[in-house]
Amino acid sequence: MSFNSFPYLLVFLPIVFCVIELSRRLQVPRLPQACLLLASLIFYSYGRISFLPYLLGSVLVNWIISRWIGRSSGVMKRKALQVGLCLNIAYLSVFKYVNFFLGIIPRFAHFKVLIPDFPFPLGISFFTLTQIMYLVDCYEELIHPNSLFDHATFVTFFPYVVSGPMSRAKRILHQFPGLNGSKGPSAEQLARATFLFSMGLAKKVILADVFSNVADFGFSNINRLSGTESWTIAMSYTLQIYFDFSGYSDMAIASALFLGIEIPRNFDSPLRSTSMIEFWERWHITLSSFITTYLYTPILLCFDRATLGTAAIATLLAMTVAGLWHGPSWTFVVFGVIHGAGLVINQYWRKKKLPRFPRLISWCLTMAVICTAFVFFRSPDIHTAISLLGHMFGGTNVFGHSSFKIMNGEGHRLMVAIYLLAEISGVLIVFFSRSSDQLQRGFTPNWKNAVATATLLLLSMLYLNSNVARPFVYFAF
Amino acid sequence: MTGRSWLSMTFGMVIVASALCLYLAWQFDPYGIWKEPKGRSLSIYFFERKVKLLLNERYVPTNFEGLIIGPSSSSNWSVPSLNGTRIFNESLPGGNAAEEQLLLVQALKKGHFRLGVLLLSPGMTRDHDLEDGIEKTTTSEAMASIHLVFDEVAMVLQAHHIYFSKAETAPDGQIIDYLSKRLDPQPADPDDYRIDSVDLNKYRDMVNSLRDQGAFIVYVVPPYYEPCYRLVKQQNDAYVAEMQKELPVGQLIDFGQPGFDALRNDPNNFYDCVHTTPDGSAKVVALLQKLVPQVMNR
Repeated sequence: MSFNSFPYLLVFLPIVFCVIELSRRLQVPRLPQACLLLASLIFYSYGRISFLPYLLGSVLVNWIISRWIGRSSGVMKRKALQVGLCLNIAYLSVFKYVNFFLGIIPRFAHFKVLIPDFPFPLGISFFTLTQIMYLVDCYEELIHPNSLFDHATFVTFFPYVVSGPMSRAKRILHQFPGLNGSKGPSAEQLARATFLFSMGLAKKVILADVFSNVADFGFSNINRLSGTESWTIAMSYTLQIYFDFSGYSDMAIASALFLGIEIPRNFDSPLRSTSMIEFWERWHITLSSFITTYLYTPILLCFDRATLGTAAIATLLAMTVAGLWHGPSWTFVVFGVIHGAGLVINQYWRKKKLPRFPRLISWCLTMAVICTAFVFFRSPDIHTAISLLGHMFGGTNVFGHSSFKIMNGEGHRLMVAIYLLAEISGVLIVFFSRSSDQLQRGFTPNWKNAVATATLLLLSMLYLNSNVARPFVYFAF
Repeated sequence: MTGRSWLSMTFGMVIVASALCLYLAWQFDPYGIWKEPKGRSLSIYFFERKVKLLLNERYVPTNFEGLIIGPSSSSNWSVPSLNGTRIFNESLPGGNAAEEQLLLVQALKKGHFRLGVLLLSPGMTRDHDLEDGIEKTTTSEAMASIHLVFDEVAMVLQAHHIYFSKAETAPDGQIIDYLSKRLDPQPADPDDYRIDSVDLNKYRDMVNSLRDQGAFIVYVVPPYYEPCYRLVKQQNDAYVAEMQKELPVGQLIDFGQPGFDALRNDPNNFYDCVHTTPDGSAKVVALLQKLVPQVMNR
């Protein structure tokens, strides 16, 4: 079930909210949590119930391993963690990477490999990483292994089970007593959640989809593009994925808030960053936190001492793995490598205290790296990405605009004007407005934001009912 | 303001605005779904795929007995009638047989058609991509949707004689596109003449379902601008021959024949190699109005 769908907006979310509120009043111990678990399982299996065993199996196995870690000590405890990590990585690899690696073999050896056709369970990348974090936290005794009921509720929590934000157990579990308490979220909290949800929905349904039209046109007409057009296409895709994923995250955070649970934020105006380090502090924050804690640091610890060189190797390796995490394709590997290289250069620059560029130039350079990386992220293969980069950096036909003329010629002037208005609004929001997280934290109920919220909700629903809304980009991961 | 009153105010506004949207949808009814469609004149301004699908629910079956099925080369033809049969033009810019078949299936649910004019153009069978969500279009979009809002605004503008470029669009499925003039002849791309098997099956299904209703089938090869046509004639003739072999029998009107040289040679009749200007379209329509009765009475 998608957040930007009528079944979720008009049926699932209101019913879950009402049922949990009602169950709070019945004062049956832990009934609200049981209702939440059931709701999460319905959410996950909506439309594809065959994926449910994969989720439940993963939850059960990880819970058993967490108990094993909890009651072991010393070498045995370490062994339990290693078993857990290996099983999770193997689980993810079987569904996500086996085909990729088996597909490489025929390039080097002259024999055919039978490639199995495994399904790709929804959200496997997210719930597997969530449980890896959980096992490590149990190992480091940051949390005590909890009951199967708590663990299942935590992992399957519907606002984040499919596409994040990835949450650590200690951040969620302590909120369960409040969930099971007799008092639900206040009217002010619900107003704040509604405000945030409307922003997220509009970001996804209106803005992301408007930019996706431009990006899709560009990626299917690469050979015609001039330099300026190629950069605009790359920028449009960057904006598309930002609005898509940050809109999704806003809706996830708001959905949890409706139930009185706070989950971590995922974006903080990342496209205003003036360095790659800053970008990763603001983009997909929960993933970058995972990379730092569970990839970069362990890799760095493998070296005898931390130097600029070893840190660079750790960064490159961690970012390459993070790129591959997005999907079994070389384009994602290159995406990770570009970000890794950008971070390494950035770290070197800082450590050596080299002269700083003016803010605008720093921002331009950062955006250039980000857009270049997203060209690989969006392209179906390396060849397509290189072809677009050729137009971006080629130097021939720099200022042509014939493709945009063709693109605009496909629509009516009024529609082009409306799309252009949405695109300009999107650019202004990204680069000049406060982030949705800042807006919701500074939210006070007044008539102005009531009108804004109602307008965004209505407009988004009009778009939704036009059946032109696209699925979330990150559902594919 | 308290949180409670803010929530009441916000959701109150959403409910009132939604009710207003529903009222306007019923009042304007630009797709002829909520009010009696007989005798109404409904034009297509935007989102032609969705709008044609919605018009096919009641408006087309009630008001028309014949259909033109084709790609962009025929989409701006306004054909009020052929041999006394009122005609609706189902052609879509960039359309293909898969999309046209969806439109026809919708029209046939309630409609009964006596004449089917089907274009034999490579665009119909090049690919079977479905665009702009045509396959997901539902009646609920006629209650509240972004394209409904666009169409309501267009109707208001038209009613007040306020200039907007598609105001003169005819209520018979015509779609007016003002294309830039590009008459430089290009050699044929072999890919353009590849016949997609899915499209071919859909095309065949369309002809068969029209024939099952007793409709008379006329195939039309659209006119090409002569300098372009010379470069593609061989491939085009082979394409037409192949399609005729694959499709059920029907009468053929071929604008590539020598008798139509004057039409094909006049650059004022074309935007580009295949798309006719309003003048060119008017000439094609006049010829169809003369030729279709002839082939029907043959």
